[in-house]
Amino acid sequence: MPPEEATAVAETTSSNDAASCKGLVKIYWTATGEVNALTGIDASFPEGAITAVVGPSGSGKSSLLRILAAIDRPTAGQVMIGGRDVSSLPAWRRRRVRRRVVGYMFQRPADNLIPYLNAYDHLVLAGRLRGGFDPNEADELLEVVGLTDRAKHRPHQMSGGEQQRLALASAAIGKPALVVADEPTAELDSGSGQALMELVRSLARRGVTFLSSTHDPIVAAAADRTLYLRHGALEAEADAERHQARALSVIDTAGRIQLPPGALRLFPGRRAVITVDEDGVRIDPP
Amino acid sequence: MRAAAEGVRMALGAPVRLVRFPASLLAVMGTALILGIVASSAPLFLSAVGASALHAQVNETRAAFGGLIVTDEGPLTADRIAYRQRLLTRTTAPLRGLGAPTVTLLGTGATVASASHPGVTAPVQPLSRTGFGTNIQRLSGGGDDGIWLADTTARTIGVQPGDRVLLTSGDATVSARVAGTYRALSSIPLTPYWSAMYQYIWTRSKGDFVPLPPFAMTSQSQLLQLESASASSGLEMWDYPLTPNASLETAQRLGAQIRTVQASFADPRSTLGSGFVSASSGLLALLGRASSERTQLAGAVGALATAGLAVTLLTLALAGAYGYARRRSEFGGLRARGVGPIRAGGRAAIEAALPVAIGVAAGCALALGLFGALGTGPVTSQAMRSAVRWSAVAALVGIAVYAITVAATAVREPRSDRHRTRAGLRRTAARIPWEVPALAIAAAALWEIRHSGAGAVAGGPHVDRLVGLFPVLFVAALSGLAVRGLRRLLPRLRPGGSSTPWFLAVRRAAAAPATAGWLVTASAVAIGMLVYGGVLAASLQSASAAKGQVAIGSDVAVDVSSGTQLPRGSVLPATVVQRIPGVAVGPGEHSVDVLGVDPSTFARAAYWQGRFGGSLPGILNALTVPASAGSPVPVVVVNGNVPAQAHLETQGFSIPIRQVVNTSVFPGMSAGRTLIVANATALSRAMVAAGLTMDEAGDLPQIWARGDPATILPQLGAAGVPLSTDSVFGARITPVHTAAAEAQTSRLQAITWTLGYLRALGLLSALLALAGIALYLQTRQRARQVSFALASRMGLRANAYRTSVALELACMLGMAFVVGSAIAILAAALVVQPLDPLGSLPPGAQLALPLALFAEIALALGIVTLGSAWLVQQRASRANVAEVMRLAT
Repeated sequence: MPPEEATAVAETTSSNDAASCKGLVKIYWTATGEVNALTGIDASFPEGAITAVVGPSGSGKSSLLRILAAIDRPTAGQVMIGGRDVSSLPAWRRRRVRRRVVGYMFQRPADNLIPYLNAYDHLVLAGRLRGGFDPNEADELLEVVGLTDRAKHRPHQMSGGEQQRLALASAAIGKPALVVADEPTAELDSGSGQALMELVRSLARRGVTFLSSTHDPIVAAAADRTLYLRHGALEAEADAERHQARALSVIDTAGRIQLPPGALRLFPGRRAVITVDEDGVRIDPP
Repeated sequence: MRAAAEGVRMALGAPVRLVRFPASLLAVMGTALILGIVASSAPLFLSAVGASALHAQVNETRAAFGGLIVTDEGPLTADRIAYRQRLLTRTTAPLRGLGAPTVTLLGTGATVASASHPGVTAPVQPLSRTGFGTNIQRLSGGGDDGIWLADTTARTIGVQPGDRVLLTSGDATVSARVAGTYRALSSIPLTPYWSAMYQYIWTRSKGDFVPLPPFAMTSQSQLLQLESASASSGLEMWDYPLTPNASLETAQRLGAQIRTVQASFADPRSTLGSGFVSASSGLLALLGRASSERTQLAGAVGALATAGLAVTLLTLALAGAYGYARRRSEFGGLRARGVGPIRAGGRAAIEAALPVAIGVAAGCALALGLFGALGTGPVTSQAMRSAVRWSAVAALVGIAVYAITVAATAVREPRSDRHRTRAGLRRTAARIPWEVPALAIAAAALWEIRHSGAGAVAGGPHVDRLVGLFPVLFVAALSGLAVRGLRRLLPRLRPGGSSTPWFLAVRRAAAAPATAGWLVTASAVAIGMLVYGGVLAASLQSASAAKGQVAIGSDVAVDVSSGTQLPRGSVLPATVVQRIPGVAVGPGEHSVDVLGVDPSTFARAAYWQGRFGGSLPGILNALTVPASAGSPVPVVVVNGNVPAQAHLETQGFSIPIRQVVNTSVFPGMSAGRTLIVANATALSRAMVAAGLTMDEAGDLPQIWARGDPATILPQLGAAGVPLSTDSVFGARITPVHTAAAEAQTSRLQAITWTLGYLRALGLLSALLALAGIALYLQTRQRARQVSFALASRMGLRANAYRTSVALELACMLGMAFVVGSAIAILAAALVVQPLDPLGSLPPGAQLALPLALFAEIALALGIVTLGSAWLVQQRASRANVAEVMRLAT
């Protein structure tokens, strides 16, 4: 990233943000060509806030979450987590970031838990990975998520809701800068989902920052703010006029470009006239 | 404090964590067990082979030749013998590896006569030899009380068991009872027990060998009683054999001790030196040869063991990948939490350490037990220590391989994160099948074997390491390619008819993942190694047997005296031949061997195969007797050519010959030499006409006979054929040459041992492949339960489902069987000629297919198929359908 651009990013990042991203682009190369999963996302995630990312399937929610959880690396753009730029870190440094400052929750409760560990051991393991296990914090978290009397139970002895609450406690132990959850209520009934989000709120009040993708209105309602993703771009939480007038897009190696979703309405016949002159390139309907 | 305690508690659970995953635990321990067997097998095998080679050489000579032979001469009195016996007992007590001695007391010449007819006497040699009673062919009588006379002696003096005889030695005469009669040792081939006494059975007189007076055998006490009375001098001999269970290490230690003891015997001032005439031992020489054989096998065995270790470690890596597959979500969660490859690998190493260590230790113990019980010979403690060391190293490497596999598989970064060009390179590399480089190496190995030979090193039974590596690479590579091709073909198959099991089986096989292809390839390699070893061993043994018979001429060849004829009208499968080695053929002075045959009897006794070059009677018919004595003798020229106007030049005389048949193979030929075959009568007449007799030409007459020597020789003797003894001082100390003995070369033995080791590894590979199939079935069990649940809802009966599983497995294993066997046979065909242990002697080695081996493999595969299908169906039937369907979503 050029120095002037890095300075600009730094200026847009508030010191109260647990994480932020700027100009985030993610491209996957597949056998059939390039897939532009994220086409330039600017967003910040204030400390102690719950942010929901919503959008249709294939809109780039999971890609955004994986990058913000330091599991994946962006093709371009900058990602700050806990005040440090993680966008270009090598794999082993990103792993350390994940260990120390990020909590992650999968959609399926079973994916978050280890079958042979009981509830308390999950917190021991998660705390040790975070760099220092505090038994008092574990006791406190178990109490918060209502699993104190289930501390010695293994995952298969718990309900789906209890398993996901335990996963939440495991993700939140050690005071990570950011907890990322990928559709955490997708496999829960509405009551369990509601209960889980109440816990999320209570943890957020203690300063834990949450970022969650979801299709669930309960999660969206519980969030402090909601980001709408469509075709790899944010549709809301941005200056609508600027968003429509200037949108960052990516030209792939074959010369293809993905139009912003709003612009698609201008081309109902899916045909375009491209004019190249000294002022630039124009794309008009025929 | 509490945090630290929790950490310790969790760490303590790690080494036994795999107990919670029984299938993974079984996979790891099972593979580790085989790893232990393979790692320890090479030193144990080589040690056993060394001991086996030593004992084989001992058996080929004289039992005590590998131990200690002490002799003395003097009056045979009880006190004198007892004193020497005490001396020897004290001397040999510290020598571990020496067996109990065979004590021989041989008196001086004596005569025996019937007490009732003392006028007729026969010469005998009074003998007492430990265990003689069980080493003679008893013809009549029994019991230990009295003396045993040879049948010829008993006939001469007219006595029977129970009669009394008078034994006269010098001035003394004693009376004794005849305990029984035995077949005279000079009329039968000598057994190893008697070969030690050959110089007291035969003697040389005027250039020929004649039998000495037979033994009058009796107990030591009776012999001493007779000899004390005569006060004459006799021979005392103590044969201390090498114990049959002595390892090479024991024998080496014993060799050093014997050398020290021999020095004492050689010192005339010492008690031993003054008490005995000589003490000899061939142990050191035999040890040198045995060690040399072991060393020369080490390369091939080491290469095979390395290949086996590589395969087993690869399987352990697969077990690691399988373990990861069973815990995919656990590792996925840990990856999301920032657990890297080192931590994940460390966890896996801690978890696998105990099971791998236990498995390898059990494998090593099993190998030690198996070699002890079934090995070709005893193993040394040094080899045992080496086996344990190698097992420990293998265990450490195994743990590392397991951990690295888990680490590499479990914490792999998302593919999209890799740089594009690297992904491109990976894709390009992945497009090259692994079989291509393997096949290239196999081709290079084959070229080396075919052009440089795979063991044709003079002076020892060296077996090249490529002999073992070539089939592994060749079968693996071609099996892999074949399986790839068949996997592409399967989806195009449209199972005919309305058979639901067939439809399900073919569809499942077609949709099977790449793992299934790997398993089929692994099974094909295991079967291929078994088949390759079996086919090659059978082919080489068959070829060696045929070559042995060609070299000998028949099953048995007995050296006989000149002029020996078969009894008139004899129907025994025997013929008399005249061998004249080293005759010059002029012009050109080309050295050939000459064989005179009797066309009327030759065909029924000689070894012949149609592939040798037509009909043997047809060839013999061409060997007519010329009307004129001076006419050229019609001859068959074998393995060469002679000029049109040729002469046999011997002793300065010239015999004209005329080539009527030319062939490349004929019974009685020697490797690399031309053989001239003629009618013996015609040859004899031509020689006489030239002024020469067959004897003067260097004729070595033999009787050739078909059948077991133990059966045919007494039949020949009973028919009145006098057996000569011209080769009694030969290496094997017997006048009988057998094709079986001729075929047993040390090189064939070395190759057979190596192939045996290869087959053992093949068997272990088969076990690994079976374990892999079991794991494969286990990993697919959930999908099978779902499909069975769905199919049973649609009305499919359990029986039909089981049939479909059996067909699917049969499809996999059958494919492995056909592919592995076919490629192994091809591999064996490619190397059978260069591996021929008697390559210079026709006929050339041809493939021999051991059908019993194929039947055994097919039976084993059938049992595995049906058993596995039954187990899979049982588990699918027992599954809770509702639970399965819920988990399947």
